[in-house]
Amino acid sequence: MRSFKVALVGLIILAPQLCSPPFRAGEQAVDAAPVELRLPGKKDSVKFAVIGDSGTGRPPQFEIAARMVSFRQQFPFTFVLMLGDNIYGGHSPEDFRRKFEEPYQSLLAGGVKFYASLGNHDDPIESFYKPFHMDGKRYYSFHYGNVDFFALDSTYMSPEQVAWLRQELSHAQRGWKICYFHHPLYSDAKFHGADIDLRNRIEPILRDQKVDVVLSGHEHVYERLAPQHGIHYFVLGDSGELRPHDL
Amino acid sequence: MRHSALLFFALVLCAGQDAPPPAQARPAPAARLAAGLIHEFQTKVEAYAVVHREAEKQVGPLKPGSTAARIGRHQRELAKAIRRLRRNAAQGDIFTPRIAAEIRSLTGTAVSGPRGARVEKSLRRAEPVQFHVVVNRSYPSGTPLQSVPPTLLLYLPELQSELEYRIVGDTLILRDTAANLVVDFMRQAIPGV
Repeated sequence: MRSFKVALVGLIILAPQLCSPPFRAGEQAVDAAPVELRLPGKKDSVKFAVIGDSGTGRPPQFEIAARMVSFRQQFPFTFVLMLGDNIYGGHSPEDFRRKFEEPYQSLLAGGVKFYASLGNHDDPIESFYKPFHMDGKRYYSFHYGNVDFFALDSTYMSPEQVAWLRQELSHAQRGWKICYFHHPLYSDAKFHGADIDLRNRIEPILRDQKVDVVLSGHEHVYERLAPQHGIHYFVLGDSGELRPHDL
Repeated sequence: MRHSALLFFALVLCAGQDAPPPAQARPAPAARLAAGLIHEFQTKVEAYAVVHREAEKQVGPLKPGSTAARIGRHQRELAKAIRRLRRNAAQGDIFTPRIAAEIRSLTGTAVSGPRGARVEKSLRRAEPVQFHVVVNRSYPSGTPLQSVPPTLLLYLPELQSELEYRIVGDTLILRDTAANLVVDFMRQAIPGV
């Protein structure tokens, strides 16, 4: 059994409820009302939010963003992990404004940092975009408190990236290891499903290096999977659109 | 009124240790290319990288921490400069028939070997894309970049950092990542796709 010096990490995951009807074009997002939070918001815990497949620029994205602002009053997360498909469609300045800067305006103004990973709808050039904190890299690591985070580019898992991942994970000693990337290694969703080839390539490394949590998007649903080989997998790709009946 | 589901997790993990996974066989794909063809391919790729760097000198580097406007401007200017420097570029300049044949052999091995089923499934689930591919033309704005199965990347020869492989239908593309340009392509690159 493994145990951690760290007591806990607060992890927020936001998703539209499955029973919500789909938005229609032109429909306005509804202001988010506070919802009771049951979370061990320990004073010194690392608090963050996670969004995936967010960059639609459509009302559901704005609604989720409003929820994040609302919840932040009760759960003061300081940064957000982005699981890819950050900007759908074109990548003009107008697209960045409408699909990122506007929806998360309040959070950005409040000093919340976003750490992006790349999805298949993203142009890797996004890695140079200041608010995504990628420092021009398609894959990178950073840490907060006693948690090491690893943002991967699952659209292009080159042998160089695999070697980098193995090395970075082996050097991470802070206690928690959280990897996030776009394509899920496990998923029961019907639209895409799990990426078996990707799983075969990197899961042995994740297991060997004792990664605790893996977060992915791609499927526009929310899934929390039973731990696989000791790793907790989440799929969260519904921060910009929910795909009904996908599970 | 729409509601958001909010899920919180206090992650206090006491994860059990599993038996170590079987070691993955690591083929040495590049070694499978005939030595002469490796050299020829890498020389051509390096020659392209020199052109890219020359173009970048003309337009200036893109620095991390840029604005969206700066990123878009840089991409357009870089593509324009590369097109100017490679105005006579044509399909097959890098993927010559001999190199293309060898690469088909490598991808054929990747999809027909023990990993074949996985690779094929990965390709099917990667949100396949289709468009008319033309050298020196931009990868279409708004079209997803289909992910390349890791096993295929393991079999394909290494590229300079300015370039990446991408898949469009059965076509393998060399894409300039910063300029978003199609540098060269070869059709029927992956058997069975």
